[in-house]
Amino acid sequence: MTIAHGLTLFEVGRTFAQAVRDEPAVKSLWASAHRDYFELWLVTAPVDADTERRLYGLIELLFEAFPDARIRLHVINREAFEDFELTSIVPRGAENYSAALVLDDGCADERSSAQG
Amino acid sequence: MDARTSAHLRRAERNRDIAREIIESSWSVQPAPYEWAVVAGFYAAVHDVNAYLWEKHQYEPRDHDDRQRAVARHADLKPVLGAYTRLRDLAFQARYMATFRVTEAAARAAVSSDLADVERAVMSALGAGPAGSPD
Repeated sequence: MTIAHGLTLFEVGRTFAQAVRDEPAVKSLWASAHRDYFELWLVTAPVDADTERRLYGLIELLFEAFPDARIRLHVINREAFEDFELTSIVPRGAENYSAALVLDDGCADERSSAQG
Repeated sequence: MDARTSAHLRRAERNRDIAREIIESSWSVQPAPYEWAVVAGFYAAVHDVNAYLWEKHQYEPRDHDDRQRAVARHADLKPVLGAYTRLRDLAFQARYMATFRVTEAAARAAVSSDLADVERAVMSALGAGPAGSPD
């Protein structure tokens, strides 16, 4: 999907996946496109506040790569959810970029089965 | 200091005080509404950033996305981009995700670390003392 300036969800998702691929706490990455902004959903293992803060700071790479795009980052720390259920958090239609992380903790299956 | 800057700083201080009071109060509502401490904390950070942008650049952000980009763009604030973005997202999740829970410890961390970092960066750039302290 293209929003503005020819930028696609794929470019945004892939770029962020590359930025976080070496982060051990990262479990999966989802991305969705809206009328005038992109959203990224980074699912992590239980992490402390310092780790979260560092992950949030990586949005700087997206701002540098795509200076005109509106991009919102959500770090989804499983520990902060009562009855964690990915499908109730990530919007329907979000694309899974976990493969670009070369990580798979079963979230992709969880999502697929919930939508399937 | 410009009057609009001062107004933003006063609102930031008020929102920070509200966040702290939510954390320190005893609540009959259970679980205690710590999620609103995070929301108030985020809006304290919003006004801190607005104060900086107005005083230093005569700029009023259009919306949250614009403000966040400004944090990333200006060297004075860039070191706290992670803290600011975390506060923004915690406040988002607290408001919109029905199963998201903010513990007392998480609320304290958001206010005493994330918000405090943003506040320090802004006050340092403005050459002002910490909010609430005598000049």
